[in-house]
Amino acid sequence: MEMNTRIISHEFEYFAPNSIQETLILLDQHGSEAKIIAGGTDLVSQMKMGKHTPAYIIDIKRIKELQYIAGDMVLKIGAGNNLRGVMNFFLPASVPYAGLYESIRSIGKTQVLNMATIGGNLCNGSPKADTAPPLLTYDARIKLVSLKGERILALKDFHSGPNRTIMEANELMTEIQLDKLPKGTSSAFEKKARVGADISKITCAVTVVRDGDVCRSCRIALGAAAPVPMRAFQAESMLTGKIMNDALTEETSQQVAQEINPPTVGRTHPEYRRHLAAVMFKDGFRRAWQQAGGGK
Amino acid sequence: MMTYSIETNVNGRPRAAEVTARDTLLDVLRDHWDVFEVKNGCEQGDCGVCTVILSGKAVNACLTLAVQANGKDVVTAKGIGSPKEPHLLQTKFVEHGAIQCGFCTPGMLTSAKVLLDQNPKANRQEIREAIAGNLCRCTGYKKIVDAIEAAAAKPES
Repeated sequence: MEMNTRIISHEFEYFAPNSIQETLILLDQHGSEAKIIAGGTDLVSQMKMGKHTPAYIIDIKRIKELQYIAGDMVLKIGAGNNLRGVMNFFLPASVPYAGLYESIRSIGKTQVLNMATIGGNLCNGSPKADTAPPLLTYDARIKLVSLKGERILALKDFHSGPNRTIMEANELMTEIQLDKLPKGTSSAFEKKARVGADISKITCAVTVVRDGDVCRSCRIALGAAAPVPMRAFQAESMLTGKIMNDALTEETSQQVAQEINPPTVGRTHPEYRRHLAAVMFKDGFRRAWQQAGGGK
Repeated sequence: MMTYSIETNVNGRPRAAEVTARDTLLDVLRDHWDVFEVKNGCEQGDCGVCTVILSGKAVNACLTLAVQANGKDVVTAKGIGSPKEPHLLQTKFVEHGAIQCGFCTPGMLTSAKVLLDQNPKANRQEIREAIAGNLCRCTGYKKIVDAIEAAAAKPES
């Protein structure tokens, strides 16, 4: 168990670039020894635990170019938006993305929502990142930029292991992209933590496309259920094009429980996590299904 | 060792310091500028006793590097009002006995101040959410919410 030493015990140099271009130049020079700081809510506490000892810190909080939310057919969210800004953009009225709204709201602490950014929540690489499951169910893409160019990839391919991502040392995440969701779509997010506003024990996001009693498609993603935030593809496929009933929801929830790959070490027993995964899928599905049907 | 010159405005007073990059805003407030109303609790963003208003937003000073606050305005509980001219929130905290040991109070006040600045008529639920990042271990939340609610009910004079 890492201990909070209450001090950052190593020295580092600090840069506060004003543009994406300046940031990329710094990353090109120092990338492998540098850490990007945005909100700092993860990084500063991790440095106090001695988990990271970067020689350089590159602060992107002031870069206005990373703070926008715009687009119609493709919604583009700048990675530098703080979580409160993203949450307010997706007020519950915008039903299709309710799961993302709920995931940010579950973080709870006002100060953290003001400081932390959506890009940071993903780049930190935690399997527990609260925004990852809903974004996975929206088939979100992310844009990574370096001096050599840019690449856009599916979020599901971004995390590569616990607290690891495929991002290269010279790259900066600049944007999250969401395709417009079809009519009849809604989503929900469920979280279990030790106490409210705590780090998640397990989370589940569900996005459904509903047409009367028929489930056109259902996408299911879980956090803290495997080494990386994950989709439950096999469970999803059980629902495609089906007329929904309670037995099918139950059967699918058992598949979700089977499909996760819970850690065998730590506070939570794997079987308990599987049990929670099934229950949370059912709760999330029920809510998303009702919202998608206009409350029915 | 590399140092950085930072300048901030704390409660309307210009402040400067030579800091290292690893100094947090909390360190510099307390150790360089004697701003002791900003308390030092968990130092990892859980308890909220170090909450200050940085450029209009409630943040944890323990998770903010001092260099990140360069050029910004910082408001603490003392900047909200003084014993002679207390802010309505402070008056209501006293009236409602929303203080037991007092350690969480400066953070509660700064969180509440930002809430009422943005939402002057905040309801109980909104108040509870606004102080969700502030722990009180004397179990005094009811009186704190009562006090903020009373301040929200009255227009500031």
